Amino acid sequence: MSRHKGMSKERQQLEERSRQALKGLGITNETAVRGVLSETLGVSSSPPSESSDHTPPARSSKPSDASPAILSSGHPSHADSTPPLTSPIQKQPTPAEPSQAVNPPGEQVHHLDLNSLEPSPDQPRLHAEADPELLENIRVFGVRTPIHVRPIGPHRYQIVAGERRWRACQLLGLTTIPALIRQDSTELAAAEALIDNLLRKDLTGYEEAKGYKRLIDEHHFLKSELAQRLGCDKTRITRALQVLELPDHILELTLGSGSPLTLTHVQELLPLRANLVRLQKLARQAVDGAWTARRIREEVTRVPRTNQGGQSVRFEARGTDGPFRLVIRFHPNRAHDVGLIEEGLRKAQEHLQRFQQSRPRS
Amino acid sequence: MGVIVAIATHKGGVGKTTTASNLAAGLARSSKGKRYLVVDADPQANLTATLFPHERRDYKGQTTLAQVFGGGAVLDEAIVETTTKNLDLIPSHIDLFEQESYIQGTPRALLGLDAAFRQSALLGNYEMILIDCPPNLGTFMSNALYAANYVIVPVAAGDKYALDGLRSLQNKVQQINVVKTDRKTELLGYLLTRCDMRTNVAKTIVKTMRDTFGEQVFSTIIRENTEFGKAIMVNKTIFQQELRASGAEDYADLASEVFRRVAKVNTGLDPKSDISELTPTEVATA
Repeated sequence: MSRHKGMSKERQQLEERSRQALKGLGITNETAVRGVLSETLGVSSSPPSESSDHTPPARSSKPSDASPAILSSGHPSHADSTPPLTSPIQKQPTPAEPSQAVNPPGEQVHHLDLNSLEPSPDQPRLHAEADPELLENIRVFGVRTPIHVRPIGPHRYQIVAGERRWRACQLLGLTTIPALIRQDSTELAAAEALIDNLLRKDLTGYEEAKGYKRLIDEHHFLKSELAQRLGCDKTRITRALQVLELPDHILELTLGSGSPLTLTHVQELLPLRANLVRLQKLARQAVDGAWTARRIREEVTRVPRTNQGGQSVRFEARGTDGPFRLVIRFHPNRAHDVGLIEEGLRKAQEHLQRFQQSRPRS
Repeated sequence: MGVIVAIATHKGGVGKTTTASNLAAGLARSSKGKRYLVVDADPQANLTATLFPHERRDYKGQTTLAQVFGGGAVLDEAIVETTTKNLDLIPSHIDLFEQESYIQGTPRALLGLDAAFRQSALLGNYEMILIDCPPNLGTFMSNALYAANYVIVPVAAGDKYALDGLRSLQNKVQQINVVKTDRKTELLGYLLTRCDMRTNVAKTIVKTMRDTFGEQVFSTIIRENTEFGKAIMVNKTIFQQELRASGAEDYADLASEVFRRVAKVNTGLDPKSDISELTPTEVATA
């Protein structure tokens, strides 16, 4: 619409597109449009409008006196690199994980000599032996998922994730193993290792909980992200973390190698964490008797808990006429409180007597 | 000036204002010493009703966004402190509704809020600025989207109509980005709200959203929680109302996730040192 000599074709096109967009946004008044365009595209040499409106455009001749700190946020412009909002119909490609990308497309798989690899000292799994199932799997199908390694010297690599697969290959007498070589920072590598481990099925409850804790504390995962990544429920993670708060000897007892219990069992003991004596007693019984989770829960709730909302003893007396109500409520396992309550009752009685004495008998 | 995030959807009742107030509170609570600002750009002024420090301050005579758009006031005059530490508010008022017709034929229909932001001296003090938009695709929504760097779109997992509205919102942002010549408005993410995961409808909507939009959907979902209603009833944030509620945990998680997403794009914010994930139990004992 503005045809001026000297205005570049580019600028004209830009202006035209902007006008269309503004129309879509409901801004059709020519003055307004020109005002916006002069703001966003810079002042053009278009003639002043004939119609006047009662409110001046947002930026009159006031200079932008905003301090530099406000105007420039100091961040690089992302005008070209941001992905535009796509319409709902268009299907997204496989989403990358929030914290780290796994197998970026097109990454080269290398077949490395088994002898050029060494395990990572960071490896959280305490006994990283290959199990028969894994061996059989690899024997038949080969290693299907490349392991992750990082280079630590010429033709020497450290295994970031996949130690068990590597050991399995050695046991099977293979010579090479498919691997992805990454110059990961040690941290990403460690996180990768932890996650890989948590996907093992024969992890003990303790190892699992410890794994979650490390990923959350050291690698700053969110519980929800972690849950999504591992394909489990967020509550599982929360409960596992809570279980870790239990005293070490209890964890040793209930989740150690001699115990038939799992995280699910142990979480039923959580309500007792304030009462160590009882906790110890029930934990011992649960381990020895190989209790089910349900049994543990029943035993735990048999006695009123010490936390808020536990059962309380309640006495209430109401007056027949008028607003009188006496309520006594306390938790029975705080035995010393009963003395206080009796003391309180005595004082109330004294108070009552004095009150009765002070007013004339009617 | 910090990053500006608009909370926008043109569907009502999806938890937009709830998100604006509780996300802002979540951010303010877990970021040590940094200040946050939330702007109520909705003439209905629900956010203002919740966050305005009614006990401490009289609303009469308070400068609001209505006066700023009307041209009489500077944005800085409108800033008030809320009852949440490190969280400030720019309140709205029903009079803002009138302003819409006045600014219709002027550039302020699109640029007004942005201009006000630029001319402000105090906005530079804030780490992040949230804008609560009105539930319609009108003038103030356009203003907010233009002024913003990012948009969070709440989607209620309760009815399918929520999904239908997404396209018009996307169109609007695309149009605005055509006009915008500097930093474009980006989608920070779709936020699934009011999720009652016991129902099949909710499960379907959550799944559809994640299948369609993948990473663009926030990992955190906001579960349906009656505590929200209670909090709003007494003009409190969920954190002031009931720290142990699932709503508090969800918005705390969301605050972390928002912070991380923004930090990933902006080099100015440090994701490790500034925010730590506080769970309700930790806060209760701290």
